[in-house]
Amino acid sequence: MTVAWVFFRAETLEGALGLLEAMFSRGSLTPPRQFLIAGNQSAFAEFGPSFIFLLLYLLLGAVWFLPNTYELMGRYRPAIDSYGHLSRTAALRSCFVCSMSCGWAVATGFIAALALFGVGNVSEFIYFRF
Amino acid sequence: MLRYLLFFFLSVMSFSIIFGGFNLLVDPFGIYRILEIEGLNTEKPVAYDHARLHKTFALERIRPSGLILGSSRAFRGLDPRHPGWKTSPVYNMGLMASNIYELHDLLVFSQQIHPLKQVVVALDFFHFKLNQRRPAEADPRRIKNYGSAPWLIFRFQDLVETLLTFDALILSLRTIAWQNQGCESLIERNGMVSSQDKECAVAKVGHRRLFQWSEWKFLNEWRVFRNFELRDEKNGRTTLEAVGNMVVDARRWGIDLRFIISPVHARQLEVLRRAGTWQQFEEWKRELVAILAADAAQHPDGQDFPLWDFSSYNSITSVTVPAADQPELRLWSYWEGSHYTKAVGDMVLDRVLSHESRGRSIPQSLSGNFMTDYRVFGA
Repeated sequence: MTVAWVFFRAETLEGALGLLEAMFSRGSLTPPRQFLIAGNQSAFAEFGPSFIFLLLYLLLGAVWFLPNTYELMGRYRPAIDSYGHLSRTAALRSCFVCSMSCGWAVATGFIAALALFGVGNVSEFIYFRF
Repeated sequence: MLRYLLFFFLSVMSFSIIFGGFNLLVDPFGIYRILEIEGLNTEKPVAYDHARLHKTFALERIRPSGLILGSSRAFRGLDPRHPGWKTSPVYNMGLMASNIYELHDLLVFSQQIHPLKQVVVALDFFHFKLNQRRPAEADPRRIKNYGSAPWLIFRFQDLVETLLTFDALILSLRTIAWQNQGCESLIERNGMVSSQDKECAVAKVGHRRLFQWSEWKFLNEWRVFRNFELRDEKNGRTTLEAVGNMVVDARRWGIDLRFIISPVHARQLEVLRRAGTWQQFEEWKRELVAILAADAAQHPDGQDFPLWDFSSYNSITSVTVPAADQPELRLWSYWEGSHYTKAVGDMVLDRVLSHESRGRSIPQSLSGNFMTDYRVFGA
């Protein structure tokens, strides 16, 4: 759908092709700040661009096949009519549904600790190197 | 529910302690030095990009009575182990892209930590650029008013950022991964930066490309000399006033303070000329001498604060750069136009610290202009 829209919105065919190239080319991928070395060089470079694509496909799989937050918290009725489909949830998804168990407390505690660590950052010398 | 919340809270605390403890032990910035295991964390390649953080903690740990102040030229060339120093320990507090105000702040900060006896300040023209952009890392709160409440607050911030952040976690992992790589920029215990990174660069591309790279960066990317002003036209004040303040403080605290102008390669001087700042460069030297001469005149019985100028055209600074098709040729004196080697730095310190090294004579051409009056050029 998104791909089809490119041709409707682009002013010229050349522009549309340029946009498609940007959408799918390796050069358009920007890693998170934490993966940058000395402000500009990507740590991904050590693994090669294929590594980024592999990572993206893995994450795409997570987006498609793993439950979203409503499904995770479905047992506790987080929103109106957002949990009716739980009975249809596949076995893979159902094992991710959150419960008040110790295991979930540790797992969410781990994620919360990482999230807290993500609040601050260390100033780096990125102006220039003499 | 209560049980879940209790476990959740304990998990958050436990993982925070585990991550923080990991950062504390790996110590990517080299500021805690609690545990060092060869092959795991003895080398701190990450510290180079956080040198201000690393070196301020080192100052507190080492409490030097001798200090070297300057830019990256100073931390690559001037050796705290030089036998000419009259005091010990000496620490090289050279910092990348520093400015004269930061050098003055560091002098005061070091004095507050431990009384200084001898200080060599390696001055560079770019230190004096008006409204020079300050690197994000160079927060003056870290080195102002040692022990005061604002300083303690900033110190707390440093501790949190170096222990309890995702950045620190990534840099800890990077420190472990980058041990003994052989080409990283490493800050030594005395504040100098080891030459292995430059040696690798020279071996890879040769001196000529490094010279050209440095010159291009100065002129086109960093634009260090673009819109270069020493004086603020609004209030008539100049950046050189910081030198006067350093002299006042040194006299008050009885510090043996010596200034040098870095012995950059002649091609670096040509960069100045190309950038159109040569006239200002000469004016800068004259004003430096005038400040020190005025101070000497006011204190005829006090100590002198000498200024040595090594930034002239001579046989050392004008050494021919190997041709592009001779990348295997090595210079003993320069890495590129901006950075001289320790060998040149040792000669400079021989002269500045009045030391005679056996087996090392200073070429007449690098004798330096000992500038105590207005005879700046060709004294």
